[in-house]
Amino acid sequence: MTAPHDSVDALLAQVLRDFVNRLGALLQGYRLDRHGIDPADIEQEVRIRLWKAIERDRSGAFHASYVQKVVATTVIDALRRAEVRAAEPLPEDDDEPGQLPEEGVGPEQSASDGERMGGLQRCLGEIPERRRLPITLHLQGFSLQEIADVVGTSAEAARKLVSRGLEELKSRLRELGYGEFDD
Amino acid sequence: MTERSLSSLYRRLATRTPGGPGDLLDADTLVAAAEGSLRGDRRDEIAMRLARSEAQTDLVRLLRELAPASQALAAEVSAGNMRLHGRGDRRVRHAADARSRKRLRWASLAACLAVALGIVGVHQHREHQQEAAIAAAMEAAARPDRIFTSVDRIFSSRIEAVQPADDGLFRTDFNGS
Repeated sequence: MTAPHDSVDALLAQVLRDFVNRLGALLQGYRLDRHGIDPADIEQEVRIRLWKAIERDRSGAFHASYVQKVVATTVIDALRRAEVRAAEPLPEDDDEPGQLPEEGVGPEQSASDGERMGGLQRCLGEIPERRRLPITLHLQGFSLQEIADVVGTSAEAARKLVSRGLEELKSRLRELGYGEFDD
Repeated sequence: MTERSLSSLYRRLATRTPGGPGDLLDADTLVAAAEGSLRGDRRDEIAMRLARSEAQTDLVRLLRELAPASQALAAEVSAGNMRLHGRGDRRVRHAADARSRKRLRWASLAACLAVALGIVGVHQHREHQQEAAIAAAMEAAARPDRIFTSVDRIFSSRIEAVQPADDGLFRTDFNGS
């Protein structure tokens, strides 16, 4: 291997390290470990896949969309593996106590949550789809600009759709006797 | 204390909805959603599936935030490949030389073939001419002789016709007249 090749490889290795560090910070920030995946595994897998791709083709341009796709594929694969693990039955242990209720949620609250979820589902179902989609995306955590990009509208239009939709949803929940809600 | 956050309530509802967490989209679709380039006819379907999945929502938002770093990485790798391109150029030139030598070899071969065909053609033409001359000679030889076959005026002519009038010498009366 020649000296220029080595120096370029060293530079690319450093650039890749920086990228993977950034990815690691975002994985932590979005708390993807909540979904049963290990951020360290994702970082490692992405580093390997990208380095292989860089080594494979030294002649052409490297595209950002390809990098994004490698990250997306790696996370999706990890989510699928997590789903399979979750679906597998746990080994039986006589000493283990029965399934505990969700931490901090008492039986009364659990029953009450179930009622409110039913009410929310019913109220959302009554809202036309065009208005319902921006509301559900907002409730899931998308920002207004992200909603606009997914739905295919402007950020201002998305803001109006979400704002009016939420008011309508809260009003319906109130009428059904579920009380007041925050966003 | 009663949960009063709509977002929190909705997310718990979404995880309980059939097809919620297991309804994973493919990488291309998630990248397109992150960069806002979803196809118009699939927007509603994708939006609905994203709205049901907290994990995919997190992933799309992460990809969106990661995009500048991905662009920087892609630019650095492309630049690195360009720096290595000098060696690549030499390889390309060598390959081009080899190709041009190969072309030259084929052209030379074709020229030789053309010359050989030309020589053969000329030779055949000459042979054809010679054959034509021989054939013409033989044909001429096979034709009946004009000297003996023609109606010879000398021998075929009636002697009587050419015989002049009575020879005056012999028919002359030698009686003194």
